[in-house]
Amino acid sequence: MIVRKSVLTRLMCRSTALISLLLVGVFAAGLIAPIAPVKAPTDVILWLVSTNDPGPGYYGGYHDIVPLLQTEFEKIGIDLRWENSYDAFTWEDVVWDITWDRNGTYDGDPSSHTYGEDGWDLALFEWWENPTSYIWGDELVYSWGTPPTGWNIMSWNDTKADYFWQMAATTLDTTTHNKWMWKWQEEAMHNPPTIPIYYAEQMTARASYLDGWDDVAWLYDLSQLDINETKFNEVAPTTPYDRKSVGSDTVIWAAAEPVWVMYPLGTLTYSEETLNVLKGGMLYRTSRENMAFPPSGDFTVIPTLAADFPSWYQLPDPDGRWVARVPIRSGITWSDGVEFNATDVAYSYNSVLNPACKSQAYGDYSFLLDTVQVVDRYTVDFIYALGMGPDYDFAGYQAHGWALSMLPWHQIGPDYVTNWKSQPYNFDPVPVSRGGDGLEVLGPYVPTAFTSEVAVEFEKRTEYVDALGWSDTIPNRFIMKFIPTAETRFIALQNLEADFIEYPTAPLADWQNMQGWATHRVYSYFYPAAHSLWIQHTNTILSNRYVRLALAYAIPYDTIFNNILPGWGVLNAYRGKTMMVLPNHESFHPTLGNYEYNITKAQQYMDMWRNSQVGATPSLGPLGDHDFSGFVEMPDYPIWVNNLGKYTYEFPWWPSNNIDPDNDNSGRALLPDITYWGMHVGDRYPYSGAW
Amino acid sequence: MDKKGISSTTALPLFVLTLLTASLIGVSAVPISPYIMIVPEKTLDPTLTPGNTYIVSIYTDYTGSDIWSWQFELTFNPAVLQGVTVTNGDLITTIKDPSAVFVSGTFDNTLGQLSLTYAFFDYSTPPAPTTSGPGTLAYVEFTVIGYGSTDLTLVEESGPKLMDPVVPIIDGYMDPDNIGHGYFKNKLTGDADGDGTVNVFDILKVKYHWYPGPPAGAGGYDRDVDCDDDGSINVFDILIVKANWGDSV
Repeated sequence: MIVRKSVLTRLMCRSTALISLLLVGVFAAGLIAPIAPVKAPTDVILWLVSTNDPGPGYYGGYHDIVPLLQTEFEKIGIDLRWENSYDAFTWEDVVWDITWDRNGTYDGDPSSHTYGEDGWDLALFEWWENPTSYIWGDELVYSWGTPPTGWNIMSWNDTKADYFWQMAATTLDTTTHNKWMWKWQEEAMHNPPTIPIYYAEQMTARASYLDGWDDVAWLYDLSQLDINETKFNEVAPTTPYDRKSVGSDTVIWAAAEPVWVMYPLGTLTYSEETLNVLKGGMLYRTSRENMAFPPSGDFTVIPTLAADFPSWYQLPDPDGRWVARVPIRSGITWSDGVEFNATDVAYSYNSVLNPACKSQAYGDYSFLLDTVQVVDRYTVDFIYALGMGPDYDFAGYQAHGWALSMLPWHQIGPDYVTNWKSQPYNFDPVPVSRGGDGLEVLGPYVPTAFTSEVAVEFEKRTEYVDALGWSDTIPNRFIMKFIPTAETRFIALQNLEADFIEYPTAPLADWQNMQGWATHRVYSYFYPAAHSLWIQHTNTILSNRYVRLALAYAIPYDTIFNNILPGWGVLNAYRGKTMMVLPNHESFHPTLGNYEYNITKAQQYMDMWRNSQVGATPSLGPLGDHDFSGFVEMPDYPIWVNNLGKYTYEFPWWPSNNIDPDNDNSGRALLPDITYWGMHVGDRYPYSGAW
Repeated sequence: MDKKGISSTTALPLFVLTLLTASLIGVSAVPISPYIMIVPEKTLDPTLTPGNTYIVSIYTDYTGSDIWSWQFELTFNPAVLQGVTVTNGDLITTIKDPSAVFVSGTFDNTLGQLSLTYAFFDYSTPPAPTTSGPGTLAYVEFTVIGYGSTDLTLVEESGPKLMDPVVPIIDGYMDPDNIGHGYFKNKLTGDADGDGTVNVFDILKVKYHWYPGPPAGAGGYDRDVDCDDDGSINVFDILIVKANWGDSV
C-alpha cells in the first residue's frame, strides 16, 4: 500500500542541504516559468537522480531542466526532489547496478529511502540510437532485459511491446518492419517506459582534413575513414598543439567518459563501446548507408565475420526446433596470428547465453537461442528456442542488436568467465601478443599502448581491413584520448589536439564563432539519441500508467526548447514521441501525436490514480479499469474474478502492471465492485483515444 | 445505452441468411487463422440502393473449446450506412450456458461508430463457463442511406478480442493480421468518381489514381476508384468504365 501520511512532516525533516537544493531549484524555476500553481495535494514524493558532467546525459542540459520539472510537477501534487551529487560511478550503481531494483522499502517516503541502498524514481540521461538499426535498443525495452543482463532499468514489463519489437526486429522486409515498429511506438506512448523530452539537431565540428567520418554511423563503420593529406599539410597546427608532428597517418579521437570495464560482452560507456568496435567485430552489421545521416531508408544487412546469410533447418527431435546455420568467414586472424573460427563464435554466444557471465546481451538473445554449436571449423549452428523459427531472422536481429564482440576461445576458453572484473584482461586493452595483459583482438585496430584515464593507442590491422574490403586510406594509427571535462575537450577540438571528439558541447555562439575557420568543418547533424525522463516502475506509484502520463503532460517542453537547449549547442530541438525511434528514422510513426505540455490534462491523469486509492472518491476514478489501461473492456473482468475477496494490499503487483478491481475504494474486491465495471464497459479514461 | 439480449434462436436464421449472402458475393482476403472477420468481407452491389437493409456478421473460425468472451467496436461511413441493430450470434448464448450475457453497443450514426459490443459468461467463482467455436459473434444490421462506399472496420485500438477466462485468444491489437474488416460499395460498376454516371470523368479519375505502374498517379491507390477491387488501378479498370459507359443511377 502507498503510504501518504505525514509526508509534509517528513519533508520538514530533510537535511538542510537537500532543502537548500530544493529552494534553489524552485527559485530558478520560478524565474523561468512564473506560472501560478494549480491547487493539488502534494502527496507524492519522487526522487530524481542525475550526475555531473561528463557523465551520461552530457548533451542534455539536464541540470537546468530539473528545476523546471520541480515547478510543474508540484502543480500536480508531486514533490520532486533532486539528487545531483553523484559522480558517474555512483550514479551508475544507483540506476543500473547494486541499487537499481529498489530493494528497500521505499514507497515515496524519503525517511525510509536510503541512498546507496534503495533505488531511484526518476533520472535524466540520453540514450543513443543509430537511425536505422536500433543498436543498444532491444536490451533496453524487453521486459526481461533488466539489469544486470540488460538496460531495462525501468523494469518496463510490457509483454505487448516485447512482442511488437520482436516482430519488427526479426524481419528484413521494410514494410513489415515498419508496421510492427508503429505498433510498438503506439504501445510505448500508451504505456510509456520513459518520457522522451526532445531530440536534438546538434552543432559539432571536426578537423577539416578528416574525411569519411559520419557522426551517426560512428565507429561502427570506419570503412571510409581518411585523412586528406593535402588539407592536413595546409591547416594542421604546430601551436599551441603540434598536430603536424603527430602526422597525417594518425587520427585522434577524444572520449568524454572513462573506461571502467573491458568486457566485450558488456559496455557501460561510449568509451568502452569505442574500444569494442575498434578491436572487435560483428557477425552481421547494418550497412553504413543504413546508419549514416540522412538514412537510406532501407535495411541492408552485411555479413561481416559471417561469410553469408544463415541457412535454416529443423532438428529431427520431436520438438523440431529451428537452427540457423551460419557460415563463418575464413582467413581472419586474431592479433596473435591464431585463426578466428567457429569455436570462437560458439564460445562467445554461449557466454552471452550463460547468465553467470552477466553479458548485457543476455536479455537480447536468451529468448531466441537455446545454445550455439560448432559444426565445423567455419560453420556454426544457432539453435533456436522452442517456438522460434526463421521468422525471427538471425542476421537481421544480430545486426539490429547490440554490437557483440567476439571472445578469443584459444586465450580464455574453454571455461566460461564468470568473474570478469577480477581478470587481468579487464584492466588492460593491450593484448598479450603486444606485451600487455589484454585479450587478443579481431577488429580493424589493435591496442598497442594504454595509460589509464589518459589514452589508448592503436595500430591498424591491415589484414582485417583488407579482408572486409574497407578503404586502404584508413589511418595507420588511432589515438583515443580521455578528456573528461567538456570545456577542455572543446578547447582540444579547437586546437586540434583531437580531430573529433565525443560530446562536443558548447553554446551555439561558440560554434558560430568557429564557422569559417580553415582548420575545422562546423556543421549540425541529427544527434541519434533520445533525451528522456527515465521512470522507475518498481515504484508502485510510477508503476501506474496514469501517473506516468501525468508526468508526460507536465513537462514544459517549449520552455526547455527555447530557454535551455541553445546553451547546449542544440540548433533545433524536436518533440519526442517514443524514446527508441528517432524522427529521422524511416520507422518513425507518421501519425502518432506528441505529448504536449498541458497541466490540466496532467492533473486529470494524476486524479485517475488518486481516485483509485482506498478511501478516495471512486466516482472520480477509473471505474472498471482494473488494469489501468485507460479502457474498460473484457480483460478487466477476470482481474476482478481472480482477486475477489482479496484486500487491496493482496492484489498481485509487478512493475508497469499494477491492478485495482476494488472499484468502490473500500479496500477489498467484493461482489459490488463488478457492477461498476458493468456500468462502464466501453468507457475510456480520462480521454478518448489511445492516450 | 441500448443494451439488449438476443437469443440464439432468433439469431440463427440471420446467420444462415448471412452465410448465403456471403456465398453469393464471395469472401476474399481471409485473414490469418484463427481470425475474427466481417462476413461478407466485401459487398459490391449497385442494387443495394438507399432504403435497403444490409446485414453483416462478425465471425470467428477459432475451433478451440476455451472461449469465454468476445468484444469488438466497429466504424463505418455514416453517409452510406446507418446502424440499426446488433443482435447476438451463436457463439455465446444462454442456450449454451444460462450465464451468457450479451450487450450491444450503441450506434453513433453521426460519427459512424458502434461502441463496444460484447458477450461473456457471467461468473464469480472459477472455473468460468466456456464454449467452442467456430461461430458468429454478432450480426450488425444497417440501412443503406447513400450512394458510395464504406469500410467496415473492427477498431484495432480497442482490440477485437476472443478471450479465454484469462487472456485473449485472438487480440486485434496484438495481431491485426488475424482480423478481417469489411467493405461495402453500392456505386454503379465503373462509376469511379461516384457521381452517379459512368463517363469520361471516371476515366480521368482512374488515371489520376493509377496504381501501381506508369503513369504514376498523383493521388495514389484509392479503393473507391478501383472498379474491379483487385488492389490495382490499371487498364482493367478503364475497360470496366468503358464496358459500363453511359450507365446512370
